[in-house]
Amino acid sequence: MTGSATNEANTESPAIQADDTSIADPAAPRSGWRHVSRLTTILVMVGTLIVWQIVSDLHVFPPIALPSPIMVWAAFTRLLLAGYGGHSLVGDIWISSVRIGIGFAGAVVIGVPVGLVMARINLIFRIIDPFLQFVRPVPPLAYIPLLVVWFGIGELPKILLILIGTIPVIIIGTMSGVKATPPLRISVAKTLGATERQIFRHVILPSALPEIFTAMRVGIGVAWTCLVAAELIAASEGLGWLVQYAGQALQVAIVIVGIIIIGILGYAMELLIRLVERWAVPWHGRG
Amino acid sequence: MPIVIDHVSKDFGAFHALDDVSLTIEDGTFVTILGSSGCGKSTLLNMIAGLSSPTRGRLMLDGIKVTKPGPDRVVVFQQPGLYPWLSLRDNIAFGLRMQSAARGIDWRRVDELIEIIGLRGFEQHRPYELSGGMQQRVAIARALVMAPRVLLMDEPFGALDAQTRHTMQQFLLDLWDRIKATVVFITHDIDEAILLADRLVVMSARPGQIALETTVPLMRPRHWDMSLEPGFLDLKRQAMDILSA
Repeated sequence: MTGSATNEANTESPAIQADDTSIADPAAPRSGWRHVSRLTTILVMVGTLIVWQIVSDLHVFPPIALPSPIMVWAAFTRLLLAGYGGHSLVGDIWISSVRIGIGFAGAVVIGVPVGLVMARINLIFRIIDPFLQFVRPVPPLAYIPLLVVWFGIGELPKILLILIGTIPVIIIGTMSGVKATPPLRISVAKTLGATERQIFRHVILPSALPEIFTAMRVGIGVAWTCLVAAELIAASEGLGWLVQYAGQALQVAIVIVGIIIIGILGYAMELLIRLVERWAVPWHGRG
Repeated sequence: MPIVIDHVSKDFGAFHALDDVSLTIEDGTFVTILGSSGCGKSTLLNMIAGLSSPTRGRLMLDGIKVTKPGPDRVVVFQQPGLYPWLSLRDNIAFGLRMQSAARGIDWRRVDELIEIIGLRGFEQHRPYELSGGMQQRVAIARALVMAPRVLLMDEPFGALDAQTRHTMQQFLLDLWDRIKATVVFITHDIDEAILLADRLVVMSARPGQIALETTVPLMRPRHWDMSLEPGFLDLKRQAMDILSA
């Protein structure tokens, strides 16, 4: 390892070649365990179904209160083919998804810029923060009567409820993402001659992305809560309405189908966000 | 006469971090500032960088007072501080991009530096796919691509393991023989300070003051086995006396 590069301006120098080129692969040693844990998950789910079937077969509870998994499956196929209460299941899923989609997208489209501005400009923070702190602890359910009086029982009040419920999560997550930017990243940009505006655009914004995505994953759960709450009270279609309507008719199997579909859809949306996150923020947890 | 530090003091509240420090850093010299933790050596470097300003006294670069950071005084910090959303190549070009529109970037200079730091073939890798030593070489290239008047290095190898630090010191020596830039290098490692420097500045702590400023009597190109030469050992003994006082 002598200074052989000295006289050879553009040739490769062994002294300064990479000799520490090992590249970490964090996933490698865990793959064995991953199979085991996935198997555990499947076993627990199958076990739950079996226990459920046995308990309902023993008639510990009347079948009308606890239908067996097989009865629930039958209710699901009937629902899929014939619908319920004058609506098709696909139609209910569609309308609920549309409401969620618009309300949640609105919360992100408005919440992220508002959070960014609030984190940067103290005056804006002072103006918006009191409203945020007031809205946040109020359960979304409490807004429903007000929204119904103001906007009727159309689509607008439901979408607004999702927006109101979700936006504080997005705003607060975005602000905390901005504030969590490592100071070193900013110092580096400063010494490289970046302006304040460039630092915000090229350093702070990408640094905040992981927390914005975390907020979106939390937010989608809140959005579902708001949606189902709105549909329980003031709707004539949608998954929340389906659960409520079937419950009033003591169609417990249909209620359970509705709950499972709500759960699966909520989980699917979170997975979708995670997928986008992995594409947009591949460095999350590694940077 | 690029950098003149003129009777500079820095207080943090009642704490005197630096007390009446004066130092002139000549063009094309490699200056190391050696001191134990808390002696104010990083404070001094941050003021040269323009990241903080002196309480008393002034810092001049080419006769102009230093007031804010600028690409003529790029800092390499202890942590690489690379941007994980950018590839290695885009990380090195970051400063150039901040200075000009994307099409104004001299990519040949970027690629030449990638060649010099020995990371050709890694252009599209993300920082987290590189080892600590490789990341720090990228940070050095990112600074050098700006062709700064002075390169400021704040314990750049302090976070690396002993073997990698050794490799990086030799890397920096070889690199400096090529580019002969003005470098101010902060460290608490006595061997590192003497091995790298043309001029060695040793600081005492509380308050931070310059206790010794001297020329290192070693030839270039430098190599590790020079740390066994009498001139090196004399200087090391002097420095140890100051640091342990």
